[in-house]
Amino acid sequence: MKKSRSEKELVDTIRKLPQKHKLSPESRERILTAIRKDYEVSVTRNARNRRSVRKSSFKKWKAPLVSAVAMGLVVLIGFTLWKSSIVQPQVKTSASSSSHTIKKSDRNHTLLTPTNKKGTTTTQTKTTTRTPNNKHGYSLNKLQSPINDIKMVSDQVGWLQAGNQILYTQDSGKSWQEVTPKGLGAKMSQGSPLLKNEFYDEKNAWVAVSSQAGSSVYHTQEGGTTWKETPIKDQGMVGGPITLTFTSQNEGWLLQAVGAGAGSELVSLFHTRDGGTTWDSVGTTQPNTNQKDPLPLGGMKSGLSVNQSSLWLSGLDASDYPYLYNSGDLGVHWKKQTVPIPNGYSAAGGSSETFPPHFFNQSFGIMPVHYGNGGQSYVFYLTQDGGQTWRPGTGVKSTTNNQMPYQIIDDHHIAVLDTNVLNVSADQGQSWKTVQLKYTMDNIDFLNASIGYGYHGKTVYKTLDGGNTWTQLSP
Amino acid sequence: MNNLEVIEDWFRLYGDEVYNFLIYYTRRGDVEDLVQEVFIKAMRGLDHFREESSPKTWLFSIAKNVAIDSFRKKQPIPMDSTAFSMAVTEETPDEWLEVEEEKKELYHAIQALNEEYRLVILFRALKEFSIAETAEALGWSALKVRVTYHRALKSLQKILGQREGLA
Repeated sequence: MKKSRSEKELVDTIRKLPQKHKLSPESRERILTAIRKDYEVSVTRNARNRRSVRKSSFKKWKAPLVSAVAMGLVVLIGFTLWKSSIVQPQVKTSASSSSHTIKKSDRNHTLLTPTNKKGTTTTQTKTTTRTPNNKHGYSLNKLQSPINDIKMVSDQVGWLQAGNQILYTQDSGKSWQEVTPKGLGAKMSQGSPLLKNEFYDEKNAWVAVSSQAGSSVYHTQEGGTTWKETPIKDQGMVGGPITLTFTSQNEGWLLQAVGAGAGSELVSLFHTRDGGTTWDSVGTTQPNTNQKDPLPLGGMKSGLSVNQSSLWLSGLDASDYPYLYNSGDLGVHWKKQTVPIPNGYSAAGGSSETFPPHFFNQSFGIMPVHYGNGGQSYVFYLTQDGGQTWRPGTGVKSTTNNQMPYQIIDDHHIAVLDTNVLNVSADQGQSWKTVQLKYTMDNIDFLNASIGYGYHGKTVYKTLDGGNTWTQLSP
Repeated sequence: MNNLEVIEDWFRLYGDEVYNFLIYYTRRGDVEDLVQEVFIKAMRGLDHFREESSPKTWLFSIAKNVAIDSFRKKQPIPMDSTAFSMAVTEETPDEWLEVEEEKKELYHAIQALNEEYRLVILFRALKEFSIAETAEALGWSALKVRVTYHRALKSLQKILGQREGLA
């Protein structure tokens, strides 16, 4: 094997690895026979189920039906007797009327009448029911893909993304409605689009989509009932949206990965001040530019965060230092920031990766940095001076050697999930408590330090005690 | 087309690709039963499949889950080269002699990667899935695919470098 093979050469060699082995004709026939047999069994079973459903539903309704008929007869006789006992002209009129209208004074008898056909209830339901086609709820079992993201924006209301589907809950995740923007279907027909969400509050959400047809941002102001699509002027796809973030209902930022090279990544940055109706291009990385301090081309970008007029770009590159750039003029000029490496850690050869810092006010912020040398660890850095200096906390190491999802819950609490171990810090990442979970989870979303959600595949879990105990919520 | 016809069609189109992927991912040669399970599961779940999605991506996502289930029942054989030997038999003898050692070394290096790195290398590099397809098949975000792939390639280079050093 040649020494110091470049990434491109390595990928080319992997692509040439043998993959020409074919199933033998006997195996193919055996598999096809098994598939056909399974199909026949399922067709027979379904037919049998349909018959038994018909039978059982008849059984189920038989007794109440007999009672209802008997009751109806009694009521009819009673009504006839009551009618014959009253001799008043208006009763005659009323009785002759096809609508069977009863006088106000006879309200006790309204049960006997068919009442008005144009009742107000239907109209009210129409106006209060959400328009998506699944008003009776969407079972998470039916999801096409595992859950990628859950974001609870209040005790009751939250959003969920699984593959190309968006769901919405108004009862703390007990039931869900699908609210996927209709236009997303058209994007899907042109290959799998890349998605990034910003579930902002109970009403507002944005979904950035990049497909072969181009890129768009969908926005709802009505909890997913209706969406408005705004096209973004770029060529679409490649890496798709990296970050979609809003600092208010009007102001937001979109970072798109539009191409990649050896150790570099082309990105485009967009800005909106009107809730996503229009997006202005702030800049695109240029391979050869004379611009001073441009949007950096080098490195893979992991995300962007915003603190008032200050923008932060995180990621990783081949250098021996954590990757962090800052722009103080809304994305026009960028400067590399110094991030110290704590004792016992190494960032050699691009083995560290920064993630967007989260600011709680103008000066205080927390930034996660991943170190990959000698296992997978996160160190959370603090700044008290708006990001000019960063101080590392105590690292939390993965036991499974896998990438760990994290969440900065508030200005004190941080959670890091390690498959079935939850690491929780209540002191800004200075010390960690480890909780062994009963369930394996893919990711977590804490609403606050106590209430949190976790998910694995299509299953959602909930904790009310900061992650110590969890219960399965759905499906 | 009824569900059976659709699956038969997909089996003809993607059966061998799923077979090859399972050989690499499970490190086994005897994966015919798993291929069968993939297509039966696909048929049972076909009513939930969105026609706008790619059948290939969906089938590979099922294949990955079927393989993981099989790991729980039966431990994979670490660093086994049986599957690789099976896979190279389609090469011509000349090609095999020339490159077999190099490919074998690369195959072993891929198998030495952790689970996530191995998966992303198989999908992105070996099967040439796009970032979006890989994200869909693995149920990951595009960002996770990009970053994990980048790290996996770095890790692979490191393993190959170490082996080179030992040789």
